Parts: sequence; structure tokens; C-alpha cells
Amino acid sequence: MSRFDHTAIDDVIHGRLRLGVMAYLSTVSPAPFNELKVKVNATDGNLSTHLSKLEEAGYVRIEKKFIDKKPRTNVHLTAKGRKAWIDYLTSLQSFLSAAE
Amino acid sequence: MTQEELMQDLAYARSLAEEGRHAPLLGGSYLLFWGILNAAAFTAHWAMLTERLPYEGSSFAILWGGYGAVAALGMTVLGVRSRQKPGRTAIGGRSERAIWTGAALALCALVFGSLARMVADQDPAAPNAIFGAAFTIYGAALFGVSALSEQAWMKAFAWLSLLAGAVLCLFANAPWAYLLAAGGSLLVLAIPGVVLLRREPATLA
Repeated sequence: MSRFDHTAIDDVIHGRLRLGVMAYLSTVSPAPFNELKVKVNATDGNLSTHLSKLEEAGYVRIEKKFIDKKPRTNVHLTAKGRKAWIDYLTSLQSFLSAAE
Repeated sequence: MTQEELMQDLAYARSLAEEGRHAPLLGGSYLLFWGILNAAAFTAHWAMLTERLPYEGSSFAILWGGYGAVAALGMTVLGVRSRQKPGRTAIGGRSERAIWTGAALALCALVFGSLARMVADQDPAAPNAIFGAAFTIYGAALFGVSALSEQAWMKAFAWLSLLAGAVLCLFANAPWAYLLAAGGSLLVLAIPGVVLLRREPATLA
């Protein structure tokens, strides 16, 4: 019997772009929106859509503020998001072990 | 989801996580600035002490007052500059800022304490204790940044700084110690600063 439970994979994270966002935020948090956009190679709209999904799940927190009168959006990885990211990596590890 | 797709996703996630983990440090301009400013101030102080530069009673106060003004202006300009750099909130960058902020606070405590003793005890040599201790603080900061940002080359400068600190504590009251402190500032602050600046990202790409 397989030891892998596919329902253990977090669908909120498991999209290519959201995976990239979570991976980058795991080491750079808060990340400015524009920096994140370049790193994951996304458009403004596409990144906003995916960030909204992560925000709804409580994995990221979007902070909007003004610095030197210019709007600036920072994306923070939340404690819940960090836990979800670690759990996601554990699930993948379990999948790969089961596949061996 | 095939195993191959999963491996590709993991490789992608890993590359992004590593990009953040190994983001270049952004403190190079600060180190270069402080290295040059300290070297200039220490050299001027030494030149006045040894009467190579003409001076009067207020010259030392003017020198160090000017040092404080240039330092405040420089930090403001560098703060604006570094806010525009990518990777500022990466783990290495955050560690670097926290460590140097702690070091700066320690230096402020040292300076205020020494100046207070100079005034209270009418002891003009009291501030001579500053630079030896300052170099040991630089050394500790360089060690911390080196370890947390995985920049092993920086440890050599940390050791040099600790060595300079020990020598400067030993010869604190000798006029030439100021010249040594000037050279030490260029060696342990300005040179690592140049190394870091050369690795600094200009843009997001």
C-alpha cells in the first residue's frame, strides 16, 4: 500500500507561481511586491491574483504603505504560512519516498 | 502529477529559496563610508596631536563635531540608497542590519561613557579608550555577519579587527595609535565594504 496521501498536498501552495512565492518568501520576508514579481516572473495582475489566494488562506500578509510619498506593497510570510510551507515540503518528501 | 513534474517544481522552489538565502549583502556602502570617515578623522586627530597640523583649544571639538555631522548626513543618504536595493529583507541582509545596529549602539554607549568621564574627571585622555574597544566591536560584528550570511572571507577581517583592538588598547595613549586606527579603519571597514559593494545588485533582474 502506498504511504502517500495525495490529499496531504496543500492545493493553495501547489501552483507553480504560488510555490515560487512561498519559496522566495521563506528566505526573503517581507518582500516588496515588485521584487517578488521579477523573481517569480509574473505580471502585476497575475501575481495579485495568486497573492490574494495565499492571503485568504492566511499564509501571507499584504502591507501597503507610503515611503517617500511613493506607494509600496510588501508581502510578509505569516507564521501560519511558514508552517504550511514546511508541511507542504514534508508532504512532497513523503510522496517521493513512497514513489521510490 | 508525475514524479518528474514534482522534481521540476522542487528544483524551481529550491532555486528561488536559494536566491533569497544567498542574496548579496547591502552593507558595503556603510562599511566603506565609515572606514574612510574614521580614517580621515583619526589621521587629522593624529596630525594635530603631533603638531603636524596647527590647532588651538577648540580644534578637537570642531574635528569631532564635524565628524558627527558628516556621519549623520552620510547615514541619511545611505539609508535612502539601500532602501532602493533588492534583497534588502533577505535573511543575510536582516542579520547584517541587526548586528551592525547592535554594534552602533554599543559604540554610542562607549563614546558617551568616555566623553562623560573626560568631563567628570577632567581627563583629556579618556576618549583614547574608544578606538581599541571600537575595533573589538567591529570584529564581533564582522564575525556575526560572516557566520549568518555565509561569507567566510569576512572572518579574516574580523580577526584583523580584533588584533587591531588589542594593540590599540595596549597603546591607547600613544599619539601614533590614532594613525594605526586610521589604517585599521581602512583595512577592516573600507576594504570589506568595497568587496561587498562590488557584489551588490544594481537592479532586480
